[in-house]
Amino acid sequence: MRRLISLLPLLALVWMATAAAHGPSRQKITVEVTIDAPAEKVWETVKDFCSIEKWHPDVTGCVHEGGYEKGATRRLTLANGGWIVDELKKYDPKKRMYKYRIEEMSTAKTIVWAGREQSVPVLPVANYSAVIEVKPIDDNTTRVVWKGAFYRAYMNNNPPEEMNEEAAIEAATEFHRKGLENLKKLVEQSR
Amino acid sequence: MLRFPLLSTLLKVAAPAALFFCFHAALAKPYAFITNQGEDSVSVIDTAVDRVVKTIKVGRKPSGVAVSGDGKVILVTNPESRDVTLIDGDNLQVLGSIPVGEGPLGVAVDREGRRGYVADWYQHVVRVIDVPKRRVVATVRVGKSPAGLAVTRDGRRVYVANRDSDSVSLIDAVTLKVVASRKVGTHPFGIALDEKRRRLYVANVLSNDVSVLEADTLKLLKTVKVGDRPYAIALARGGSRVVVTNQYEDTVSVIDAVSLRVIDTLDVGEYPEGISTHPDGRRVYVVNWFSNSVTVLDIEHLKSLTTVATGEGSRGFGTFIAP
Repeated sequence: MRRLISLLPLLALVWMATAAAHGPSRQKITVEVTIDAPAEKVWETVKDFCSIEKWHPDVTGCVHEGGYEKGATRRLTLANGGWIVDELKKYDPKKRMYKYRIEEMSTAKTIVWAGREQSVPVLPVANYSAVIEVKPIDDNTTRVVWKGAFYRAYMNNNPPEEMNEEAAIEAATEFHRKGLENLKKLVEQSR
Repeated sequence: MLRFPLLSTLLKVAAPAALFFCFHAALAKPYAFITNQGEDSVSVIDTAVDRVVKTIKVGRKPSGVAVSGDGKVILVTNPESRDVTLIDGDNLQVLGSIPVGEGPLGVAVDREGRRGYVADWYQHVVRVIDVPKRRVVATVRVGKSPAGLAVTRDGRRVYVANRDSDSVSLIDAVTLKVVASRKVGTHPFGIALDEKRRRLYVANVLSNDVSVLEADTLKLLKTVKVGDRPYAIALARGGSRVVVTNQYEDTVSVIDAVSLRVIDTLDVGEYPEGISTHPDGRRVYVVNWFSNSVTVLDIEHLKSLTTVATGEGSRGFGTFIAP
C-alpha cells in the first residue's frame, strides 16, 4: 500500500502531462463587406432589429419584442429548424450601429463527451456578443462591419471537436459572411 | 576620504542627489504591462510617452498580470501553457517560467515582489509562488473558479473573488488559511482593495454591479449598479474615485467613493477588460480587448487623453502598472 501511495504523485504527473488541458479563451471575428450604395440606404436595410430575416439567407423568421432600448429581444428562426434569441445591448442610429448578445439557443445535437451528455448549440459558441456597424466610405460606398466575440461552446478543459475553438470560429464566421454577402447583393440589386 | 574633505562633502551631497534623481526618474515613467492573449506577448507601454516601447514574448494565451510595488517583478499568467512568466521590470527581459496547475488566470504579487498568488480557474485553489525560488510553495483551497486577487501592502492578507461560488474569500497570508468568506453579486471577477478606507470593491459580471465590502469583516456596505458586464476595477485619486470597465458597453463607470454613486460613464475602446491606475492617481489605463488598444483616461477631469495601440487580444487582467 505504501508503495502504491508513493506512486500517486508520479501518476498525477503523467496524467497532467497527457491531459494537454486547454482553457477556453475568448475569440473574436470581424467580417466586413463593401457595398456600392450610400450608407443611408444600407442602414435603411439593416436598422430594424428583425431586418435580418430579410437579408440573411439562413434566417427564415424573426419576432421582435420590445423596442430599441437595451433588453429588447428578437427570436430568430433558422433555415435548419433551430432558433436563437438575441438581446439588444446598444442601439445607436447616429453611429448606425447596434450591439446584441445571444441569450438562448436551440440544441443542434447531443453528444457524449467526458462521460456526459453535451448539448451542442445551433451556433457552437458561448457568451456570444456581436456588433453590426454601417460606415460610409464615400458618397456611394459603404462598409458594413459585423464583429463577434465569444467563447467556444465547451467551457471545460479538453473540448470535443464539435465544440472547440475552431468549430466556434468557423460557424460564427460563416454565419456573418453569408449574411453580409447576401445583404450586399440585395442592396446593390435594388438601385 | 579624510584627505579629500571637499570630495567627501561632494559625495555626501551628490549621492543622495543622484538617488533622489533616480527615484524620480523611476517614478516619471512606470511601465504598463499589457498581456496580449491573441499573440502570446506583453506590450510594454512607457507611461511617460504613452507608447509601446517593447513587446515581450511570454507563454501561451497570456491573460493575468501583476507588478510588484517597485516595478521590478512582473508575473504573467498563461492559461494555455499553464505557467507563469516572470519578467524583470528593469531590463524588460523574461527571467523564466513557473509551472502552476491547470488554469492559471488571476495573479497578484506582494509589494516586495517576493510572493506571488495565482488563482486556478479549474482547480479552485490559490497557489503561492516564492518568486526568488521560482516555484509554488503552497496551495490554498478557495471557492469555485477563482479570478481576481488583491494583496495588502503589508503582504499579510490576500483577497480573491470566486466567480462560480458568487463569493469572496479572505486568506491569511501567514497561516495560509481562508479566514472569511462572503457572498457577493453574481459572478464576481475583478476586485480592488482600498486600504485607506478599509474597503474591497468587487465587480459582478452577471449582476451588473459592484459590491462594496468592509475589508476586515467582508461585511456588505453597499451594492452599486454599474454598466453592462463589469469586469475589472481600479482606484483613482487615492481611492476617492473607483473606475469599473463595462465589457458590453465599451465604457467605464466612475464611482464616487463618498456617495458610492456612479458620477460619470466614459467611452473607451471595444470590450474593455483590465484597468490600472498610474501612480499619479489621475491617469487610468483601460485595456480594450476587441480594439487591441489601451485608452488612457484622465479621471480628474473625466475625459479621454489618448489611445495606445497594443497587440492582438489585449487583456491586462490585474495590476499592470506598479502601484
